[in-house]
Order: sequence, then structure tokens, then C-alpha cells
Amino acid sequence: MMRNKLLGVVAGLGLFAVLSGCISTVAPYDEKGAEQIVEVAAAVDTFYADMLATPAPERVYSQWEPRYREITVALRMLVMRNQIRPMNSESIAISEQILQFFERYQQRHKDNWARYILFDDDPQKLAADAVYKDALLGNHRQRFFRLFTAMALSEEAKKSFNPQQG
Amino acid sequence: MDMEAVIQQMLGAMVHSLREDAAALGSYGQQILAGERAALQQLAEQRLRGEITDEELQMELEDERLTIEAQMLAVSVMSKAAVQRASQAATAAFFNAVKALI
Repeated sequence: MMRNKLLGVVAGLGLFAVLSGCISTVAPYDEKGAEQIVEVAAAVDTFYADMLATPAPERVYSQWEPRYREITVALRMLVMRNQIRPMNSESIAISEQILQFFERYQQRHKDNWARYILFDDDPQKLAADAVYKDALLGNHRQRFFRLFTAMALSEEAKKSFNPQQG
Repeated sequence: MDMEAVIQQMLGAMVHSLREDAAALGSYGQQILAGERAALQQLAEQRLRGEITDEELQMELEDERLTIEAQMLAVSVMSKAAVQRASQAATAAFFNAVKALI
């Protein structure tokens, strides 16, 4: 009697394990998506490295606008790639946060440039080195690095159990 | 079929899988904390040196909060995936045990 009960529990556990193995809680690993994350991360990092290497008075917003546009498109595609996959809410949220930061920093650069080109006697006028400060550029570059790392690790974590690795 | 041995194999596979993932999770947790500590220290020093204004400091702190939240989402994915992988490992152990009997 006791033995039968035990066998029932064990069989139930086995069935649960079989079923739970078939039920996914995260999206399947997307190899191309993982590559895309690194590519966009590299584009953003290069963008910030280039701007840091440019003297502050030469950080003319209009000259950087095409690259802002290019990276914004790449980030939007990353958001879309995450959105079309099921059970992927966390990666969607991380990619949307990156896009929001990038757009916000672009808008601030644009607004500050508009204030820099005001007449000298205008109280709203900004100094050249305040258009996009070195300190903020460094912070933003590092922040994006951390966020892309989070997204890349999220993707890596989605790899299925590999029996060869044990 | 020795079900107890099968269950032991399944549990062993789950524990092994979870142990590996727990190590990766712990390492990333440390990385998040180190990154946050460095970012906050940097902001404090930048404000003290007058490189950023109070308003900019406020905005940066708010962005740091959002950054930590996003990093926690990655931890959530890693945890969910670890549980999923452990159940896959147990399933594989179960099938291997059954296959060995056929």
C-alpha cells in the first residue's frame, strides 16, 4: 500500500518534470538578436568615444544629428526585435529604456546647442563646454555600456539546457 | 525500474544546473553593485569639483535609479531561465533513465 503511494508520488514528480521541461518561462535564445545587441552597443560606444574626442566648442548639434538618427533607428529595431518575441517583457523593457535615454540625451544636446548660439548678452546663453559636458558624456557612455551588458546577459541566459555541457 | 535512483538522478541534474546558474547570477549581482558604486562615487566627485550642477546631479541620479531597475530585469530573466534549465536537466535525466531500460 505504502509502496504504491510512493510510486504514485514519484511518477507524479516525473510527469511534472517532463511537463515543466516543455513549458517555457522565457523566450527562446535568439543568436542573431544577441549579435545585434553587441553591434548596436558598439555603435553607441563609438558615438560617445568620438564625441569625447571632439573639443567641446565643436560639438555642433547639427553635425551629430545624422549619427543620432542612425543610432535611434538601430535602437528602435532592437526594441522591435524584442517585441515580436513571446515571453520577452524584460528585454523589451531594457531596450525601451536604452532608447528613451538616448533620445533624452539627444534632445538635451539639441536644446543646449540652441542656447549656446544665443547672443552673448542673452541670460539663457550657455558656455561652449556646457553644450554636452565631458563629465556627462562619460557618465552616459558608461550607463549605456551597463545597460547593453544587462540586455546581452539576458539574451545569453535564454540558452536552453545543453546535455553535452551537463 | 528503480524509481528512487531515477529521482536521485533528476535531482542531481537539477542541482548541478542550478548551481552553475547561481554562480553566474551571483557574479552579475556583484558586477551591478560595483557599477552602481562607481557611478555614484563619480557623480559625487563631479558635483564636488563643480563639473555638474545640482540640476544635472538630480537628473543623473534619476537615470541611475532607472538603470538599476533595468539591470534587475536582467537578473529576473537569468533567474527564470535558471529554473527552466534545471527542469530541462531533470527531464533529460528522466528520459535517459527510461531510455537505458529500453
